[in-house]
Parts: sequence; C-alpha cells; structure tokens
Amino acid sequence: MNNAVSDEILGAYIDNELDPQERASLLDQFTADSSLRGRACELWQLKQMVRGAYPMPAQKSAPAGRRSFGSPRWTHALAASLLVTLGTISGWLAHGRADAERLMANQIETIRAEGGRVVLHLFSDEPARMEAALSMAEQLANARDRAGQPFRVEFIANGPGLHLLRAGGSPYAARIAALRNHANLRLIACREAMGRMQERGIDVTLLPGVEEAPSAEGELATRLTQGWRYVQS
Amino acid sequence: MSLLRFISRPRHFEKKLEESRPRLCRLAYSWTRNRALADDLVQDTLAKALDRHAQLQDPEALHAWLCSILAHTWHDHLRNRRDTVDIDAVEERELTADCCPEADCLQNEIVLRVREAVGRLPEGQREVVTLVDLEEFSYAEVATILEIPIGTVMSRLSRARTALREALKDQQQPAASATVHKLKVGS
Repeated sequence: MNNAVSDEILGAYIDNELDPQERASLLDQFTADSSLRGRACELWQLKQMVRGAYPMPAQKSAPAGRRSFGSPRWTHALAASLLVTLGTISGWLAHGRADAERLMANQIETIRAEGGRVVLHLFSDEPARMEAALSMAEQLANARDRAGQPFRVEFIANGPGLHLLRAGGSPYAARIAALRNHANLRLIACREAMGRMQERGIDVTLLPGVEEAPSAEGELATRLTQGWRYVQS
Repeated sequence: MSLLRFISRPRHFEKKLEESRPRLCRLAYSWTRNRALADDLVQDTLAKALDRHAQLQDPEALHAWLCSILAHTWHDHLRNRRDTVDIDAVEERELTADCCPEADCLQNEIVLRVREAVGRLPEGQREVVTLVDLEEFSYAEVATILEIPIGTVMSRLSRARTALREALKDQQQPAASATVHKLKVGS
C-alpha cells in the first residue's frame, strides 16, 4: 500500500527537499515496496525528461556548434534502457562496517552479472553520501567481471556533489588520488555544474586526474544507451 | 559604497547579467514556447535588472532575482496580450510553428512531446516545474521568485508532474521493469 506516500513527498525526495529523517523513513519503505520504488523512478525519469527537453542555448560569443548542455537524445536512452538503477547508499556512518561491506558486495555481484560496467552518480555534498559513494567507488575499482577483467567504472559528480572533486574543497582528496591509480575508473565533473559554482564566485579547480564532461546528463545518457548500470548516491 | 565601487559595479554587473542570458533564455522559452518572445522578455529583464542593480543585496542570489524579474515581465506580457488576443489560439499556433534551437531537436520526438506537454500545463504549474527541474531552485526559492506560499509550490509541482506523467506515459520506462536497487548500508 504505497498510496500512503503522496506524490508530493516522492517529488520532494527526488528534488532533494526532504530532511534526513524523512528521507531515511522513505528509504526504509523503498526496501519493502517495489511499486513505491517504481513510482519514485517514474518521477525521476520525468524530471530528467524535462531537463533534457530544454538544452541551454549557446552564447553568441561561443564557438559555432558548441553546446553547453548534453544532447537531448539522452532522453531516448532513459526511455529505452531497462538498466536504470535507482541505487541509494545511505546510513553509512551510523551503522556497522561489516554489514555495509556485505551489502555492497551484493550490489557488486549484481553489476558483475550484468557485464561489470557502471556509472556511479553523486549529486549531494552530504558527508554520509560522499563517504558512501567513495567507498562504493573503491570497491568497484577493485572488482573484476566474470572474464577476470576489471570493471569499467565512471564516477560522475554534479550539483553539490561536485565539491568532492574540487581541489581545496574536497575532504577526501587523498582517497580521490588513490582512485586515480585505477585505470578502469574515470572521475568526471559536470562542466555545467562547474559553471554554476563559478557564477556564485566559488573557485572550481578540479583535483588532478578529474575529467570534465559537458554535462552529467549527457554522460549518463551515453552510458545508459550503452547498457551500463546506474547507481546513484 | 565608495566612489570606485559605485562606478565599477554596473560594468561588472553588466558582465554578470550577460552571463545569465542563456539560462534566462532557456527558462523564458520553456514558458513562452516562442524563441523571439523569449529573447524579448530576457532583454527586458536584463534592462530592468541593470536599472535596479542597487536593489540586489546578495550577489549570490542574482539568478533567483533575475528569474523573479523575468516572471513579472512575463506576467505583464500575458496580461497585456489577454486584453487583445485569444491566448489559446496564439499558443497553439506558436506551438506548431515555432522551431527548436538545434536541428536535431526537430527530429527528436520525445523532446518535442515533452515540450508540448510542458506547454500545455497551466501557467503556474509550468513555471514551478521549470524553475525546479531546469533551474534547480529549491522549493523555498521558487516560492520567493513567484511570490506564492511554499505549499502552493509543492501542490502545483505535484499536479504538473501528474499531468506530465499522463501525457508522456508511453515514453517512460515501465516502472515495473525498472530495477531499483538500494544500497542502504548497515540498517
């Protein structure tokens, strides 16, 4: 009976408007209720479709053909892909490490069964989420597929999540540096999010080895089209 | 304010305004569904902002402030047009005759369908959903920009998404087939 959770609450969840307690309560309900998860997933897709339908017009001074927003074709990827995963990593700091690693191992086994390609998406600067995303990235970077080859992993940060990849702004710079030693993992910052931070006067120098993509949405679209797993922190 | 700051601020401010133009154009286009009208509204908005630059207390709130001016400008335009024109007829004609900013958009059925669905929302719902989804404003910021209670923001947003979901349901991945994984650590 997920009708007890209103569309307004689910909308507030995908818009990151819930407080931590409300979010935790909803996540507990997601565990037991697949149709509730499905409703959240539908709303998330709708939000991405609206975003993808309005590319940013190029500035007149920009070089011809330059786009500041990912191709709207990515909406096709969302519509077509059966591999979208709304993964949420939470509660990391509040609970035991052993349980955490067991649960992550289950996730990694699922990803392995589906080819070992995964995009890990961070759109938050909440410490628990950044910690969880980093821990997952570290596990994924060391994982191997059924043929014994390393997973292919993209760690994409946008919105407030960009802070994780900022030089001077990330509390995890040493761990990010360690991740760079894995050739199978790419760290990617959303250039649109960088622009928005710079508009607010925030210096956005990226940590060494972090790549830029024109937009997180565009990069996610490409990978979803190619059948990669999606995990959101 | 020192004389130097008084003299230099408008020039610096003008540059900031120009940097905001693409985002404002995108938002205005999502409201008006007409590229030329969107450009005009943004031009008016930027001109007003330049005149009123002393009213902006918090430079970090520049974009929200500009969106608020844009919303007022758009509402004024609608009021004036309603005096003389059948708005439904105009909107329908503009919807079919207007062009997308990029050629490949024209070939993208989903994009056109999303824009059409957004365009058919009531004005207030369309403004809220685009401010939240495109501009990534918080509900509180949207309430300030549109001068409405936050509860109204939430209810308009929810109604807008219900309407969009209905209009676009065959474009979405079926919820039942969506694999939704939660990695909730240790709880």
